[in-house]
Formats: sequence, structure tokens, C-alpha cells
Amino acid sequence: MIQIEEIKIENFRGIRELTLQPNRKSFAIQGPNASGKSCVVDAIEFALTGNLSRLAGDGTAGLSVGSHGMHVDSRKNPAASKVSMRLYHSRSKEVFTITRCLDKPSQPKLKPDTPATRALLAQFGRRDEITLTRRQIAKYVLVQATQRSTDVQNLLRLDCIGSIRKTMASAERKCQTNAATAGKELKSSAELLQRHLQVDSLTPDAILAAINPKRIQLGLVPLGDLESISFLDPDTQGLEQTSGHVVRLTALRDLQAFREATSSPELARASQAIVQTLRVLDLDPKLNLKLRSHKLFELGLELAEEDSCPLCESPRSLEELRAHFTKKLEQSKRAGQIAKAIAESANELRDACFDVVLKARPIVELAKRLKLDEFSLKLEISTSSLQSKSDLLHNLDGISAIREQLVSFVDFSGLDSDLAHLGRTIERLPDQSATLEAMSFLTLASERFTNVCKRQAEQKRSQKILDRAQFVHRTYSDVSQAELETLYRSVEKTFADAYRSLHHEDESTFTARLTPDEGRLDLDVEFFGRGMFPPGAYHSEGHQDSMGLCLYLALMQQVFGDELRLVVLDDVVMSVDSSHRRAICELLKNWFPDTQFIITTHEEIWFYQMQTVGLIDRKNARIFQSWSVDHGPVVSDAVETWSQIDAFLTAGNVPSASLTLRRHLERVLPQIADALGAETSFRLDNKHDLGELKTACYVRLKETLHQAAAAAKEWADLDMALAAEDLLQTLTNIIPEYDKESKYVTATIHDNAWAKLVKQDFLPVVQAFKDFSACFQCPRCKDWIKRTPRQSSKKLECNCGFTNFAITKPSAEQKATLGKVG
Amino acid sequence: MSDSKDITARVHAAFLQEILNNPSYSELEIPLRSLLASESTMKPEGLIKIYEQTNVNQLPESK
Repeated sequence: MIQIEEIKIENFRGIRELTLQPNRKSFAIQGPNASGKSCVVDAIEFALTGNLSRLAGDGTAGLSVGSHGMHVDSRKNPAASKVSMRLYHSRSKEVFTITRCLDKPSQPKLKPDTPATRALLAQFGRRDEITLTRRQIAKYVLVQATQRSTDVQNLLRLDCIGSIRKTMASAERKCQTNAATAGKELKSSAELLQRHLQVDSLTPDAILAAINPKRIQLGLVPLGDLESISFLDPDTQGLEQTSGHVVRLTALRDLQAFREATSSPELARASQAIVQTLRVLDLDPKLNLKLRSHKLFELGLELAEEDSCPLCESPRSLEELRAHFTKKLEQSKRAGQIAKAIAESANELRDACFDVVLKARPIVELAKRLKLDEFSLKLEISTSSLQSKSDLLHNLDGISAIREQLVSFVDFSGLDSDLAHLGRTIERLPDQSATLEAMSFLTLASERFTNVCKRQAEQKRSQKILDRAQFVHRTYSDVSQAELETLYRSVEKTFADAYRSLHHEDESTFTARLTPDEGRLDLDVEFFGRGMFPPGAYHSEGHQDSMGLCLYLALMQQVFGDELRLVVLDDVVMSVDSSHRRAICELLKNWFPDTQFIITTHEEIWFYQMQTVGLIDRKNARIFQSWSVDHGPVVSDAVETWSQIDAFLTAGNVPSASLTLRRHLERVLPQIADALGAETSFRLDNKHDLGELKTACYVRLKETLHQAAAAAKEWADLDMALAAEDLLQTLTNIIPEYDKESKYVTATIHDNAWAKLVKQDFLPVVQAFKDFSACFQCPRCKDWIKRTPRQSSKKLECNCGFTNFAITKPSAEQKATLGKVG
Repeated sequence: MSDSKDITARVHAAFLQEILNNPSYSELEIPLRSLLASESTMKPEGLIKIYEQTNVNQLPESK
């Protein structure tokens, strides 16, 4: 995975020109709202993916990277809007540069442009997974289980497993439909044969018992089995005469079966149920509307596969689309139940219609044999029309289109006289000779038996195909489920461990459970020993934010493991209190020592905590003081403050230099006081006077250096004792100068006449404050020195380890050991 | 490191092995292996074709 060495932003979003050099280390930007922090996050995402998730999703209709990614004044020149990043690939240890312009966001320029660097960039694709924003943080803990499953699988790059499972399920459904149709065809053909043979079941014995008497009548040898497909021998005399012959009794039975099918109670019941449900919808137009949109959202969710809506083609991220459709489906739950009821009745009606169609077939054939061609044609047209109507029962639009016909859905009353005529014609058929009757009987039996065999083969084939589809789908589901179970056990453990490290004081027994189940991923967390609940049930918003962050980090660690080298956190701790923010700093630093975090925040205290904990070097901390449309963010850092003051003085602008110095003190004195654990009078608003803070810091450092010098002597470390005493002496010398000069700062800011200082007058003031600050800094890393641990401190040290005073004296035992060594 | 690509590959390997282990369905293993390799373009129709075309000899006679 990559890390950022440098990022250069030009005319992009709210930034005119900005260069930041994280140099592969964690980097933090602090500033008030609308100071341009998130533009840096956007720039990183854009450089890596060519995409901007901020311009996609809810409420972003009409927005796009190509039209709105550039600075507002650069809209006519998108080529001038660009982001360049110098990146380091941790595995190959190679450095490469990527530059992406707004005029061609999908065509990044790489230097060097090699297959390896292209492949590296392709890993990111359109994903923005390395970035966690405030907006996204809740999505892992507070979304519905189906959406969580999608989000988590996307993040874990397991989405192909889900999509393959869906494809297998869809194939299985189609095979199921085919097998059901084949089953109905077989049943119908078997009924036809049974009616003709007048047997209760189609066992070989029953069939042979029905046909053999007829064969004997014809002087043929009785069949011993059903090996032969024909029940008449090929050379039977007079066989040709039976062609077109009608077996009267069978014909009457077929006619009766058809009539019964057209007046079946199932037909009436199913039609009536649909009509009644549609009336409910008539009385509630909103429900009707929701029912229609429910189907639409179901379709949208099923078809959503790319970053544009499958229904209207508007650009939206896939993740947003799925969340949107899932939410809409939940909102129209009642409509979903109505849709289900209609679908069930429609299925019943369709089945009954299919039965009518199947039973009409022998009647059509019969009419043809009896030369009733006009009736035969009319019946064919009617059944074909019924089949078409019944096909419309598959969806609500179709049902609505034929709504008026539902009351008398199967209506063959127009053929009543023809059917009656057919019946009479059959009745009037002359008695056949016994021989001819036997031959006709066996001919029709052979036809129907052949048809049963054919349908049976088709049904078996369909069933076998369905068996395969079911086996394949079930096996894939079981195997992936088992694998995902293992994966989620690992994620939930990391998640719970991370969360416990943040909330160990009150939730030391916290556990979590991720439960995957066919397209769902349920998350339950332990709540103070009272049981497992969804995260949103009882935990506070701050705890939910912690969970979102921990789950995200656990998932990222699962995806990248040791290769997790870059994570961008955009203002993610809004609801977390300051003690837990410090714990977050420690978590990020200690659990992910090789990961570069790019962090933005508007919280000054967290920004400072990142530095005191050592997550961020001071030189990698930037403050975005303000922002303007013409110039973008006004950036400063601790080192640059003195340069800024010098610049003001060079220009003769003493008031601005003084104001900058004052703001600097307001920012750093609380940090120094915190690092040393300096004692101040309690204030509810936490706003301490600068003089009070200065004194508290001075007193605390002096006390600590005394402790360090005394301890060093006891440890027989004379160099260290000397160093502590030197620093103590420096501090003591500086304080009177500091006190003397500090009055000028306030006076100059308030433009007091007596304090009309020129540059030369103000230089000693600046020097006094510089010297004072330096006493509290490590001379090497420039970080504030701090007492550690915060309670029962044992050391005075910095983050780099160069400044390192022990402040506890050796125990009697340690002293004895020292004596022996000495 | 738990690479998720490995997880997908593991799922597919275990799945194909299960198919192979079952004599009634083992003939599906080769065509399914090819189909899984083109996971992004996999469609239900492609699967049904596999279910229909494999092991034709074992399909029932027309009686």
C-alpha cells in the first residue's frame, strides 16, 4: 500500500494553491468549520480515484466532479485544476508521482508510468475506502443489516461473493419455474391418459389391465410389459381406419373435465381476492403510490451495479444507491405486504388458468377430428387469449391492465352453444363395431401414453437441472457462509479489542457479534452486562462514533493486514469526549505504528492530543486559521509562527506581530500546561488567564527539574543532573525577561499610546517569548516535553526520546545495586 | 495478513472441491471453474446452460 510524501493542490475545490509534505508520516490539519480542511481530503481521494464521493449521494443531484471539482473561479479552465501526489509504495520501496487534472479526471499521469504503478493505482479504482468521514462513520453501526452486509462486503472486497450468490439464486429460481411448468404438463398428460383408460393410477399393471382386453378383442397377444410405445401392433389390419376416430366415452369425459376446469372454485376465489385487494388500494391513493414505488425500488436494488441509478441514470455512488433503495423499501413495508398478497392470488389464478389451457387441448383436437373446424379455431383463439391474459398476472402493471376482466377472468360463455353442440355430436356418434372401438381405444391410449412418457422425461430433466441449481447454490452459500463466519469472528474480535482499549474504564467486558446470513450482516454489541443489543439501542452517540471508527479500522486491518499504510480520517470524533479522544490517539499510534493517518479536525484539544501522545509530529501539524474564496485556507504551524512574526516586523507591522504572538501563546500555553500536568485554579469555562497559565507552567517545570536533578544524583548520573540544573537555570533567567516584556503584547494589541513600539523595540519581546517556549521543548524534535505517565509520573520526556529525565529516585534495593556497581 | 482476495479464492476453491466430492454433481466442476473465473460477467443464463448441458448421458430416457 502507498503513503503520501507530498501533495500539491492547485485550483481544486476551495484551494487556490497549497503544498503539504507529510513525508510518509501521520499528518493533522486543525481549523474551524469552512477553513478548507476537507478540501485536502477531497484532493487525496480525487488524486487516487478520480472521484469525489462528496459530490455523490443524497442531496447531490446535478453535482459532478467534472463540473464542480475545480475552484469556483477556475470553472472555465479545468485543465488548471489539478492535484499531484508524490507517493511511496511500502512493498516495492519505490516513489512515484500521480497527477490528475479536472479536465481529464479518468486519465491520471503517472511518473514513472509503468505497469506496476498503473496496477497500484488500479487497486483504488473508484473506491474511497481509505477515507472515513464524519458522514460515513455511522454507516457501519447504524444501518440496516442488509445495507451493512453490502457496505462491509464492499469494504472487504467480497462483493463478488455476494453477486455470485445472487446469480446462483436467480438461476435456481428460473430452474424452479421450469420444473414447476414441466410438472404441471406431466400431471395434465397423466390425467388425460387416466381419463381415457379409466384407471385410478398409472401403474404398469393398471395400464396393462386396461389395454390388454382390447388387444384380445383384436386377436392380439396381451402385452406383458410397457416396453412398446404403441399398444397396437404395426401390422394390425384396419389400423388406418382408426385415424381420426373418436372414442366416445373418453371424448365425453374430456369435455366434462374441460367444463369443470372453466368453472373451478379456485378461479373465482383467486380473482375475487385480487379484486378485493385492489379495492383497498383504491381507498388509499398513497398506499397505491407506495406499492408502485415499492416494486420500483425492489427493481432498483436488484439492478444497482454501477455508480449511476439504474432507473434514471443520474450519477450516484453504488453505496448511496443501495442505501437509498433499502431505506425506501423499509418505508413502504405495508405496501410490500399488499404486493405479496396480490402476487399469491395471482399465482393461484395463473395455475388455474393453465389447467384450463391444458384441458382445452384435447377438446381442440376432438373438434378437429369431428370436422368442427370453426369451433376448433374459436377455442384455440380463446385459450390462447386466456394464456396471454394469464401471463399478465406476473406483475402489478399487468394486473391493473386487465383489472376489469378479473371478475370473469375465464369466460368461455361465448362458446357455450358450440360446446353443447360438440357434446351432442359426440353423443350422436354411431356405435362402432367392437373391433373398431378397440382399435380407436388403443390408438388414443398409445398417443396419450407417448405424451405422458415425453412429459415425464421432460419433467425428470427439469427436476435434475433444478437439483443441480439447488445443490450449486446451497453449496456455494454454505461454503461462503462458513468462510465469512471465520472472517467476521476475526473482525469482531479486533473491533471489540479496539473498542475496549478506548472504553476500558467502564466497558472492560465489551464484546461484539457480527452475524452474516444470506445477504444480511447483523451487528450486536454487549451493553454493560445486560445482554447483546444493536449499537443504536442503548449506547450514546459518542460510543457509537467510537464503534464506527473501531469497526472501520478492524475491517481495514482485515483487508490490508500489515500493509495498511494510509488512512484518512475526516473530522470523525465530533461526539467523542476529550478523554476518549486521547485514547483514540493512543489506539491509532500503538495499534497502527506503520500506518500514515491524515487527520482533519476542528477540535483544538484533539489536535493537540495527537501531538502530545506522539501520533503526530509538531512539524506535521497544520492549522487552517481561516479561508477566503480568493486565497483559500490561511495555513500556519508552530514553526511558521515565528517566521510570520519576523515578516510582520520586517514590514514594520508591530500590531500584527503582537497579535500573532498573542494568538500563539493562547494556543500553546494550554498545551504546555497539559503536557506537564500544571496546576491551575478550576474554572468551569476552562478559560484560563495567560498569566496564570504561564506561572503554572513555570512552577511545574521548575518543580519537575528539581525532582529530575535530585533523582539523577541519587542514580549517580551526574551528566543528567547537570543537564537538569542547566535547564532550571535557563528557565530562572528567562522568567524576569518574559514578565518584563509580556505587558507590551497586550498593550500593543489594544493600541495603547504608550506602547507605540517600533520594530527594534519589539524584537526583545519576541526573543523573550521564544526563549521561554524553548525551555518547554525538546531541542531536537521540538515537541513539548511532558511528565509521563500522567498520574504518578516517573519521567520528563519528549516524543523522540532525546529529552529524557527520570524524576523518581531509586529504591533502596536499586541503590544497593548501584553501590555494588560503583 | 488476511487478504480478502484470498478469501474469495478460498471460498471458490472450497466450493469447487465440494462439487468435485459429490459424484452426482462432479461433472459440473470444470465448467463452474471457468464460469467463476469470469465472475464479473456471470449471468443466470450461463449457469442454467451448464446445468442443462453437463452429463447429458445421465439424463433420463424418454420413457
